[in-house]
Order: sequence, then structure tokens, then C-alpha cells
Amino acid sequence: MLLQQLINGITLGATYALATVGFSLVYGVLELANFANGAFYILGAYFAMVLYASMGMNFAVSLALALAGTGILGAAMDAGLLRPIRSKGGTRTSMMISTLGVGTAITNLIIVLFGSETKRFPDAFGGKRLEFASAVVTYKQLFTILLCIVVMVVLSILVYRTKLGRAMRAISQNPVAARLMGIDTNTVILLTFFIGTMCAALSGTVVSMYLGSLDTTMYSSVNIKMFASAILGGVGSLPGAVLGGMILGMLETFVSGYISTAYKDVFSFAILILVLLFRPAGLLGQRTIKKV
Amino acid sequence: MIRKLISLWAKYEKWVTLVLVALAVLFPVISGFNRYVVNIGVMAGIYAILTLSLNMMTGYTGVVTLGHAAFYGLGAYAAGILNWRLGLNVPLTFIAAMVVSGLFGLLLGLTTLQLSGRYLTIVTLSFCEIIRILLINLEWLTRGPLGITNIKKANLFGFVFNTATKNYYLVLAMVLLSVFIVHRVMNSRTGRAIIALKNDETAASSMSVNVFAYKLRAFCISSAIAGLAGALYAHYIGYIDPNSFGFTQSIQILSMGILGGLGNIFGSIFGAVSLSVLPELLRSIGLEDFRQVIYGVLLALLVLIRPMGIFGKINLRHRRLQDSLQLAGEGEEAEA
Amino acid sequence: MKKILAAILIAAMILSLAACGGNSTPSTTKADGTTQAASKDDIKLASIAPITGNLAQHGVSIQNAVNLRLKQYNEAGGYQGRKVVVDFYDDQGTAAEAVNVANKIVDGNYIACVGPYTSACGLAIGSLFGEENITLYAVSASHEDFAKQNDMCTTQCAPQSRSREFECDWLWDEGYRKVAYLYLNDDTGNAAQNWFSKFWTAKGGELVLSESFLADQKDFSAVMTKIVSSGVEVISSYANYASAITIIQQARDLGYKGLIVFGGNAQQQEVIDVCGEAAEGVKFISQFSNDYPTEGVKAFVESYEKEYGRKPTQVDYQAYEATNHILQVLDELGPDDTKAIGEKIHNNPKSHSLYGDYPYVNGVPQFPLPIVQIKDGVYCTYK
Repeated sequence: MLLQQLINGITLGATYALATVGFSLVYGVLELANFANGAFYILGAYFAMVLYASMGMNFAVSLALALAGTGILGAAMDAGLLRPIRSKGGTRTSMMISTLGVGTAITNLIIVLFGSETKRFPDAFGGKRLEFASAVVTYKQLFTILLCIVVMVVLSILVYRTKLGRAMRAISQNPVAARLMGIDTNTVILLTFFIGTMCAALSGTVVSMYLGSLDTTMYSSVNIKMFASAILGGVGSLPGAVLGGMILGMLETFVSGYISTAYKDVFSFAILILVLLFRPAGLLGQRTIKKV
Repeated sequence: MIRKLISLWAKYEKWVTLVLVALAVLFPVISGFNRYVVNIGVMAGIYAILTLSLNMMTGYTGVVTLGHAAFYGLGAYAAGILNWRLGLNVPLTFIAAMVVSGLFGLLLGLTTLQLSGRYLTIVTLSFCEIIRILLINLEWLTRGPLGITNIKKANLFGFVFNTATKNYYLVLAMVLLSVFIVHRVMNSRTGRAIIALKNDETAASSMSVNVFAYKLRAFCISSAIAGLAGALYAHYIGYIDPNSFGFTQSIQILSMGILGGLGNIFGSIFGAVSLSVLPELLRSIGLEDFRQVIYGVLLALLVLIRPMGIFGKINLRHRRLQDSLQLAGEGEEAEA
Repeated sequence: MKKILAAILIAAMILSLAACGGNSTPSTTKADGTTQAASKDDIKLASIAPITGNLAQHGVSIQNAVNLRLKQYNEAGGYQGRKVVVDFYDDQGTAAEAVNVANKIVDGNYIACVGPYTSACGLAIGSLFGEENITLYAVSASHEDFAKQNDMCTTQCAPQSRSREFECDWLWDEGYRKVAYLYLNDDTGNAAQNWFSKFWTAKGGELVLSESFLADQKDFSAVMTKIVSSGVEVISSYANYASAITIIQQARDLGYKGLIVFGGNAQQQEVIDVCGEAAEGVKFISQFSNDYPTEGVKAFVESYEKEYGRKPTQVDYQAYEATNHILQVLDELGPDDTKAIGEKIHNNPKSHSLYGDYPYVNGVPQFPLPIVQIKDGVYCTYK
């Protein structure tokens, strides 16, 4: 059973990590908690489901279109609602509330349009699986884990080895100076949202396939895990997002498997509290604690 | 035109307040004691108390808290548990609710006021979630996800608040009490100093004001007030469960504060009343389905168009000063 | 520009506050979106349902079923030529909203109220209806305490004690001895687990393990692994259908070949649609089966399918049956004494239900409990 639980834990961790990276990316660059992330997570999943399950398109194509579509919406949110706030000297709080509004509106629009029933998300791998010794791994589980690693790697390369990434890091340290140095902050921020939103949409789609179904309650369940993973690993840190997600996923799985499902949340949040008390920046976050 | 109205309001502030209070007191009569309408009034009042406490907490720390519903829930559960287990009622349950919430406020304040604003927001969120998980899992105390049912109506020395109208007046009294407390704390000399200096720690500490202590005090008082609202809710609705006090509720309260304008007592009440009435309005024109969608759109547009909230920029004291200075001397029109 | 917008917002708010003090009309939208105004002669029925929110599809079921039954009744002549019309109220599935709409309903001259959907909401408003002597006819409240609140509270769902005892008897008779119980951690789920464990162990069966989960839990792999490796023959679960879907899939993914049986309201078309092959052979302890061999059920299924293009679910049936019962009592006693109507519904020695003539005792129906299974991709009666 241990091997199987290990696989379960890594997969669950990967789903949490994927949901969190988009959020951490935006937070890392802008210090902005993007509450619309959860909405884009579901939107991406529904988008992909409509294309793939209802219209029967090829899975890869559906995924690509869903990502692009949601990404554009995320960028539109920035351009239309957040940028004007920035240019008027608005506070981060205002922008955060704005994303909250967008998130609420999108999620509930989905409920109105699609209904609250659970919808089917077919397995693109047709239920194929690997069976060995005492455990079973389905192809879709492998896909989830692999994707998590790929996204991590791609984003890291982006942030640490490209010009765009340098610009992002510059903005995260000092937006005013960045602009003075000639960086087109608005475009970089737009792209940050585009990429972050795509990550959210990707993880929503992948998780829906892993669970075989999707419905509108995904929003609330993912939001909390996302914040917890981000805080645990260090808000604004990409490796932190993955680490946080993995720890949360493994912890939940092992507590459920060996103690009882009822306590899984308690353990997770106990760890969270400990981290907050002793390392508030998160496990991999920068230590910029201000002492009063 | 608006300028003139606001100046008028500033000049006759005391009279305007009196009229509004009178309207509030007469509200049940005006509505013909219609149970449905008065019920909305009760809930609006409870939310007004919550928004006022949020207002105070944000005004002092400068950080928007996303976990305010936790204090609401703690108060509700304190009252609910005492009533269910020990049969206690008002005023003991109210006091207990305030004490419990206040203590947790102290706890939260001690841990988070040390942090920079960067993490505060998200930390308040996880605080709310932690409280919710505690409520769900401490089943021997809270009955977990089953919630606590059959909480008795408020019973003050034999007088039972068993109708919507009676509860309305109880809540109204608590609203007035909250306004009084918040006003006193925020408008005291130290209070105004803290608020003015909240973004400049160096200046504040150089004025030998113990900033931290005052911020902590504000934290406790505001969470205690939120707890009071919770106790009111518990006795009135009679049923509480952990899921009523989570993220969604926190956002609801926050929206009310933002709408009315944080930093303004009148604004807080206005925001609470408006957003309690809005869903019912939507219901009457058949748009309930879109209620939450409209909510979200409203929020996004609001911070875009008027981020300080409807009454946020209005400071009547300043306006009075401005107007009197204008009368005294020459001068160009100051921007509203 | 900014100021004008702000001024408009303020004016709108003030106007709305004033308007609210007057009369507010309830939403009388039917499932297809059209509104109907009640004329003077009509008899009014109220209904509380989760029209918006996460339980919205059940709200739709309730609306469909009530509307259908009323349509049939009115077309057959109504009550001495008078039509019965319904006003739906959205409780969003939360207790606070239920209290809000309940306040509106009790002052509204309704003969009875169908709903709410959840036990929690029912418990929050039961006493109000009791005081005002108006029937509160819950559609699927299986909480033991619901119907015990007062004589006005009746439910169309067998209480947990009865359903679980029935289930245990059946499992034992089929020869099963080792069971794992997986239940939703809410009031009804907990009640279900308590009763199941009590009856099962009393018979001498082995309850290998009992695990709870929260409604928003999506990943059961850890629990499933534990269950599957413990070698049970039966997984009995009290779950809503969304969780049921995940439970079935993950159990089968892990190679579990044994029996899966559900209590609660898990019996929805989506289970078949989403799970496909994996759902074959899954059974449900139910209140309703599509092909139960009575004329009443057959007629209901046919008319529902004709009207709405799909087969009815358990919730559809319960709402339909509730309305049916109310109308029967209306025919017997007339619309004027709501207290008498409520008391008769609560204790009706002979009601003509879709299953035949069965009584209601203390607000609880004493109907047969069909066991439904998924066979060849459709729901059919197993027993």
C-alpha cells in the first residue's frame, strides 16, 4: 500500500502545485494576490471540456485553445481593469478587490451558463495504466506529474534566463526604477498575467481529466489549497509553489491513508500555522520580515 | 452641486445624523411591520456591525483583512455553544462572544503585526480558514459540520426577542453601540495619530507613541465587535455551521466596507445596508441567478471608478474647516 | 464624470431602499423562465428550492416536478374549477436564506410549502412554519429530527434509521459480511453512519472501517487505497452524486471489483454519463426507481420525459409525490384551514401515492424502498 499511497500523494501534490504556480508568478512579480486565478482555473477546464468532450476535438488542440482563450481573458482583465487603477496611482488593495470581483463574476457566470451539475471529462489516455507489484499508475496520473515538472522547468527558464524574466524580476524589486530603466512595465505585466492565467487554466484542465469530472465546486476547494500551498512554500516563489503543493498533497494523502481522512485538513493547517509562526515568509520565501 | 450638498451635510452633520437615526428607529413602523422587510433590516444591521469593525481594523493597520468572518464565526459559536450546552443567554452570551473573539484578535494581532504588509493579507486569509477547520474538527465542542441547531432567541432577563421587529431593535441598539465605540477609538487623539502615521512607522515611534500597543488594542476591539455580531446572528437565526463563516463571508463584509468607503463610519453602514438590500432587489426583478455575477462586476467597477468607496473621500471635519477658511479669505475653489 | 457616476449610484441606492419598504413580489418564474401572475381565484402554493448556488440542479428538479403535477391537476379541473399556482423561492441551499424566504412565505396566504431540499434548511425554518400552522413539506430531508419538530413538518424521504436498517438486512441476506463505510461528513451523513454501524454490528457483520469526507473533497485515492487493500466485499457510501462519481472511478481505477452501494441522493444521470463502464453494477438504496412496476410510477416517468425530455431523478419524484399528496389533502379538506391540511398530511393513514396506497406516520412516508442498480448503462430496479 505504501507505494500506491506515494503515487497518490505525488499526484495530488502535483495538482496543487500546478494550481499554485500561476498565482505565485503574479504575486512574485506584482505583490498582487490574484483572486481571479481560481476562476481561470475552472474556466480553462470548462473551456477545454466544451471543446474536447462536447465538440470532440483533438485533446491537444482543445487544450491549446483553452489555454490561449483563458490567457487572453486574463490579459484583458489586466489591461481593462488593473492597468487603469495602476495609472491612477491606485493601491494594491484596489487591484486585489478588482480581481476578486472578476473571479466572482466569472465563476458564477459559469454556474449560470453551465448549471451546477457535474460534467464528464473523458480520459484522453483511454484509461490506460501501468500495473506493477502492489500499485497501479494510470497514464493520466503520469501526465499530471510530468506536466507539473515541465511547467516548473519552463517557468524557471523563463524567469531566470530570458529577457522577459529579467524584466519581471526587475519589476518585482522596484517597479518605478524598472520603468525608469526603460522597461515597458505595462507590457511585461500584461504578459505576466497572460502566462499566469494560462498556468491556472492548464492545471484546471489537467485536474479535471485526472478526476474524470468537473463541476463548479472546484472553485472553492482549489482556492484554499492554492493559498495554503503558496504560503507554505513561500508566496512569490516558484519553487516554493511546487514545494508547498507537494508537501500539502503528500501530507493529506498519508494522513488520510494511515490515520483518518477526517484529520487530513487539521494536519495540513497545523503545519501551516507552524510555518507562519516560525518562518512567515514560507519555506523558500525571502526573509523580509519587518520588525516593529 | 454635489460639493454644495456635502458642504451642507458637513455644516448640519449633527442634524443629519439625528434624522437618519430617527429613520432607522422608525423603519419597522414605516415598513408596516412586514416580517420580510424587517428581517432584511436585521441582517443589514448585523452586517453594519461587522463592516464597522472591519473599518476599524483596516483603518489602524492599513491592511485589508480577508479573514474577518473568522471573528464573526468565533462569536457566533461562543454564543451558540454556551446557549446549547449551558442554556445561557443574553447578556452573558454577548459578553462571552466578545471576549472569545477579542482573544483571537489578540492572537492574530500578536502574530501578524510583526509582518510586513506583503504577507499580511494572505495570512489573514489562512487564519480564517484555520478557524473554519477548527470549527469543523473539534466535534466534541462544536458538533463539527453538523452545526449547532436550536439556539434560543435572545432572552434578556425574561424579555424574549422572538419577532423580527424585536430583534431589529436589539440589533439597532448594538449598531449604535458599535458606532459609539468605533468613533471614540478612531477619533481619539491617539487614534487619529495612529491612523495618520500608520504608513510611517519611524515618524510615529519618534513621537513616543507606542504604535504597536495601540494597533493591538484596535485589533482586539474590532474583533470583539465582530464577535458581538456573531452572537446576534446565532440567537436570531438559531442555526450555525462552520461553512457560514468562511472566505465567502469575509469577502462579503469586505465588499460592503469597500463600497461605502473604508475610514468612514457612515460609509460602512451605507455599504452594509446597500449590499443587504441589493440581493432582494435582484430577486424582485427576477435576476437572482445573476446576483453573484452582478456582485462581482459591481466590485470590479467600483474599485476602478471610485476606489475610495462612495463616501471614502468625504471627511466632514475637513470640509467644515475648508469651508470656513474659504469664507474667511480669498482663494480658488479647492478640489472636492 | 466620476462624480456623476457616483451620484447616480447613490441615488439608485436611496431609491432602492425606499422601494424595498413597499411590496416585493416573489419570483414566480417557472423552469422555462416565464412568469405567471396569480389571479384572485387561484389557490397558492409556495415552494422553497435551491434555485441558485451549488445545488441549483436540484432546484430545477423541484421546479420541474411541482410544475408538472400542478399542470396535470389544473388540466383535470383543478380544485372545483380553481387553479393551483406556485411561487418559487430561492434559498440558495443555505440556512440564512431559508429563514429569509420563510419569513416572506408565512405571510403570503399559501396553503402549503414544498421544500426545502436540505435538512439543514428545513431545521432552520421548521419552527416558524409550526407556529404559523402552514405545512412545510420537505422534499428530501432525511434527518431524524426534521419531522419531529411539529405537526406541520413532513418529509418525502425515509429517515436514516429506516433506510440503513433496510440496507443492512439486504446486505446480510445477500451474504456479505465485510463492509467499509464511506460517508459525507454532514448531519445526514453522520446519522447514516451511526445507524448503519449500529444495525450492521448488531447483525454480527464486520465494519472493517468507517471514513468520513467533506463535500468538497475531490481526491479519494488515499482512502480508496486503504479500503481496497483491506479486502472488503462491499463499499457502502452515503454521498451526493458528485462524490459518488469520484468514488466509483477511483475505486475501479485501483482495481476494486467488489460491490459498491450508495445511500443518499447519489442516483443521478450524471453518474452513468461520467463513469461509463465503471458504473456497471453499482447499486443504490433509493426512494425511487424508474421502472418500478406500478401504474403510477410508469405514468409519472412517461409524462415527465414527455414534458422535459429526460427521465426523472429521485428528487423529481420526491417533489412530485409531495405536491401530489398536498393536492390530495386539498381535495379532501379544501383550502381554507391550513392547520388541518398540515395535520392530515403529517398523519395520513391512506395516501394514494405512485407506489400504491401507503400511510404517512408522524410526517414520514411508509413507502417501499426500491434498490436500484446500473445495468447496461441505465438505471433499473434490482429489487
